[in-house]
Amino acid sequence: MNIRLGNLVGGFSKNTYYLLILIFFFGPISWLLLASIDANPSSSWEIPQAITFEHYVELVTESDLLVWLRNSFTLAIGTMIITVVLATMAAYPLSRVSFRGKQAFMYALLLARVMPITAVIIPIFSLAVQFSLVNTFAGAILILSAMQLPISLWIMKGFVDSIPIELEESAWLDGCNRLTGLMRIVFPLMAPGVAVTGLFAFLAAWGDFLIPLIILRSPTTFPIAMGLYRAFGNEGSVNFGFLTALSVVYSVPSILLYLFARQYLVKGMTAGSVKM
Amino acid sequence: MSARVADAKSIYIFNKPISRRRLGELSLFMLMIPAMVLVIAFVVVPALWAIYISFTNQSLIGANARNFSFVGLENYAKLFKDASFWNSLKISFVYVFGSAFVGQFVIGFSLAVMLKYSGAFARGIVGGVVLLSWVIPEIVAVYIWSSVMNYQDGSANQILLSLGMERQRWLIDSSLFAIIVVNVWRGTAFTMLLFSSALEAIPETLYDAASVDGASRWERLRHITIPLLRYTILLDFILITMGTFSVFGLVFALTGGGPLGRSEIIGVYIYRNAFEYREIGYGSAASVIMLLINFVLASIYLRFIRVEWSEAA
Repeated sequence: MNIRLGNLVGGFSKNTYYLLILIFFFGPISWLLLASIDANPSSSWEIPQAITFEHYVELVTESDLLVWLRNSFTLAIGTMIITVVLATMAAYPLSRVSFRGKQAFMYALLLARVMPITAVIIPIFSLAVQFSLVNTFAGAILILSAMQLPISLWIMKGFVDSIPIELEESAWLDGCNRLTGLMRIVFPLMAPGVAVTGLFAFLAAWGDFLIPLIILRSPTTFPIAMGLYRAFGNEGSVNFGFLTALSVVYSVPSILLYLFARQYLVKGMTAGSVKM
Repeated sequence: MSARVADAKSIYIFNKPISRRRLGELSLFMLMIPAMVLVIAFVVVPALWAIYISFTNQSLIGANARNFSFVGLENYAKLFKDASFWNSLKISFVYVFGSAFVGQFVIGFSLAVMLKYSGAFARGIVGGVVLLSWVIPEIVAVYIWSSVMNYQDGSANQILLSLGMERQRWLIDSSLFAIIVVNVWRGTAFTMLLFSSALEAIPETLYDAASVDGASRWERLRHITIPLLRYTILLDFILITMGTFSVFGLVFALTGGGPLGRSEIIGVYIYRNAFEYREIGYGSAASVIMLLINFVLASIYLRFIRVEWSEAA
């Protein structure tokens, strides 16, 4: 009797807890979704009286969305390519060649990874001014890639570590040298690592706010993040239909890509904290 | 002699013999050069440069932008006398403590434990919505919450009114509380994911044995789960502390640090001084303090990782 009562109370409080979690976490997002299809949207949570897709249409016809989209994709794809190519190249010697101070080097990479970008944003801006990188995608892409590389090197090294050296040795016996063996045997097997680091780099650049704020200051170079920020900063949150539809469109690629990367999230988060 | 055999195959660099094989290996390091150039240029150099500028009176524009001069410790002296700098440190501390420890850890850990024993449906839905708020772009989260916390008709006030309470000016009267709430919303998934995967590694037989011995659910948590997860707990603490300490956009775009600095974390203080008051040298002095604090946290992190490495070995 006692046990059953305990289970009942336990089950009840557990469901209450879940309900509160759902309200807290999904409530705000459900407002966004509902307001974006509401013919008469406001900042209050309400079931739309009349449903419309007008706001999404307006995005294309009456805003700079296409420019912002192009800029965001340029930024994200550029960062992804630079990060993946450089990390793939560097991961091989990091994994296979022993050298003194290797562990210290890997630690230094972790240190670089956890360094707050805000703290170095002033010199980064000065650098960008020195090298005329302000308002250029090249500048923003190089900076975003540099920020993404330490963690990418860790993840990529882990993937190379997991490729048995025996595979390469048999290729060497068949007449490959170190480099051709790397090209023919190792790079193809690194495909999952390439996918994971590529996804992470894309997502980081896609969602980033600080680097565009500092580097991409001209409206023609705004990615969606800046377009959205300026839009609600300037007009307040008045233009609900436009802003909510824009937010939804901007979030979709992030959500889809995270679904693909889901199984690697923890691995990426904890790089270095489990023996690799 | 074997030494002679090695000699025949060796190349001398600085009078030291290096085998061709080793030389071939070392030449592979050239593959690391592009990545290292980028990291050094945009991560290492900026950190050192911040220290350098912090001893100068450089400004963003104007005469002092190019022809700046050394001012010694003047920026630091001014910094330590600036009440709004101390305020930003205090705000940062409350922000990190409130959102990382009280919010993200408690909710994330409890969810990980509870979801482990829930059905696939609850896991999918509850786990999914928590994850959703983590994966959407930062600025979207800001926009959503600026509407939720709208004074006139935001849903936070809708709830208060329906409970018979008064409207709150969330972003004005309780802006620090507001940025903590939003950061909990955004960051909890990290802790949840971390513990979900750590819990999977605990063998179920341990719990079965404890149940046979009559251990209650709480006792199992207290005596099996928490001791086994002590490293994960420490790891989580240090990672979310550093993560929250680094947050910028969420606070900058939601409250701008205001009103009157009541939600001005140190990152916003740095931005404001460098890019709004245009005092790069002075802003860099604050950056150096932020780097120092982060360095202390990161040292704890690295030391702790080394402990775990040697335990795992």
